[in-house]
Amino acid sequence: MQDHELVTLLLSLAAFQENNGDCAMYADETAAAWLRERGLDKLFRRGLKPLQVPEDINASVFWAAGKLCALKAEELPSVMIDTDLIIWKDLAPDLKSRSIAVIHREDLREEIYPDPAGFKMKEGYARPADWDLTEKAANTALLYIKDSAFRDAYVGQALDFMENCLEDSDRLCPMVFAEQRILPMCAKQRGLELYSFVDSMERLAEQRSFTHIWGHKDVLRYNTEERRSFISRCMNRLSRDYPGVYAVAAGLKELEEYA
Amino acid sequence: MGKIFTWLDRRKNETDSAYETRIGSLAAFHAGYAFLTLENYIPGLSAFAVHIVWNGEFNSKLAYPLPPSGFMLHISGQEAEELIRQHKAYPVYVSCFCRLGRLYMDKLYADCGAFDHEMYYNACEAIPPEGAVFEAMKADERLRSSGLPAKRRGSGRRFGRGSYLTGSGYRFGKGSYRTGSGYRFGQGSFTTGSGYRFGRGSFVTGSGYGFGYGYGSGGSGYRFGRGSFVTGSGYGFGYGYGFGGSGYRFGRGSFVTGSGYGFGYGYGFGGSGYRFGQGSFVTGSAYGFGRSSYLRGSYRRGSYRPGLMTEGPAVGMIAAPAPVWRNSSERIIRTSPRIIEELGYGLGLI
Repeated sequence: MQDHELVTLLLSLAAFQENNGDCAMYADETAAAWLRERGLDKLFRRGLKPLQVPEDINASVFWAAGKLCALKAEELPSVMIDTDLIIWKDLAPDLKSRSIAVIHREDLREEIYPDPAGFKMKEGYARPADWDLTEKAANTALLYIKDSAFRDAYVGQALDFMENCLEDSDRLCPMVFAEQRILPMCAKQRGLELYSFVDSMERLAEQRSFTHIWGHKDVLRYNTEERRSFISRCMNRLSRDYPGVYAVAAGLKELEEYA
Repeated sequence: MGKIFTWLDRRKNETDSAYETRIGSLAAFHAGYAFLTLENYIPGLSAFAVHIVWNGEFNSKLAYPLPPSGFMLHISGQEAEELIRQHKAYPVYVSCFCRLGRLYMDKLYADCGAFDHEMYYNACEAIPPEGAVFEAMKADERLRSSGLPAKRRGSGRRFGRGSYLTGSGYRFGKGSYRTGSGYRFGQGSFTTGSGYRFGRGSFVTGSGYGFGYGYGSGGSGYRFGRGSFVTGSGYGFGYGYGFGGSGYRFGRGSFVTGSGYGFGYGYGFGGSGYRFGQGSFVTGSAYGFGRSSYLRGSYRRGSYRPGLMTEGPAVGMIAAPAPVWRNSSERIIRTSPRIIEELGYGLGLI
């Protein structure tokens, strides 16, 4: 994890635990050791939890399979968020009458969400006949699920797809299909409403509740000036609003030059 | 090849601190070649979206190997025209820094002959040059100091072969048609405008009509990739592209009509302040025709009526002043044409 990713994680954790409640981090052994080495495990009020991904899932193609495995293990109701998403508000008022919620929906752009019939699959795999392939995708940088019945169905269908997928070089389309297209199709199968916190892509720019780094990560990787500016802003925000987390951040070798 | 890049490797028993200090003291490496093409010049930003071919050995040493696209180089239209006209790839130099044992790009610039131009990454998309033949490069064994001061060339505009221009005081190269005074343009090119950028295959309709095998658009301030077709307040027809309005930029094969009519198999253009790639054809507020074109009205098939084209673009390259950015984040977000979700959102809330 690089400096800009680390500071984003810390700000995300600090903001969520202030506004919404205690967090746990699901981590495999390597990640858990990395976090403990830096004293970051103590920042998660619900601690670190073990994460295991089935070995027959291609980890390079399905690099976010861990999210589904974490969801499978987690007690519900629960909110799962990406480490590059910062939530600045209390979600409870929006969630109290919902059973499934995501941050926003996505149009089915061909280059990201192609027809799944084109994926190479194992002999004998058959996708559910009642999947509605016209359903828009759901961005799961933020995912809330209330009931275990739906969670089990969604995770089951997604893991089944991943375990049977033979794609070995496309690192985008199969993964986002498994995570972000199966969810809304599974909800529709069960007649469940899928709530979006931001109801249109156009509103993303003007809303004031969420920060999602997303593709800006590329800019942060390749533009040193922007990365330094971004990290400085994050550290200033931690210092101002989350001094306990800032104290830990300032002691990290990745961030010491910004302290 | 590549011996010089071993300077970037950590030496035996070299501490983190010593490694960082040593890397920081190195001059910039010749790490690639930049392609500055007409299609990738954004007039409204006075900038190129740059396509770079990287030296693989150098790139492999970085914590984040650099992508071929996404880099921006700010330069006036006039200077851009000169660089495009030279039709070559320009050496790219990169200085590095080291943090916790890993190497990162610090600054990069293109050596454009008379002066260097700094580049920065902002995720803009650059169309790879067509027909560019990439040959294995030798590592440049010379190290250079960075930040050479820019030298400005004299001003002036010139047209290359095949250009067609109306106005006053123009000077044309071979095959050009000349009226008026004072302009020199590169091959078929001049630029104006700002605003929208469309990728290949875009189709937009404006206040007029757009027809064609290609694409249609209207309004102002557009940039189209190859094959764009725009119509403005008038009509644009063509196998290729049609266009109207002002401030457009087209890649190769563009066709523009302005407030009048534009027709053609090739390209037609109207209005003012346009820039075209090779084979472009410009008309002013009157009618313009490309090859094999015809227009209902005063012109016959394939004819040019220079006498009517009296209100041609008043300028060649638009040397728009570089935008002033209040902070680096604003520069990143405003200049990138990628859709919002790919850029991230809510960044200003931090």
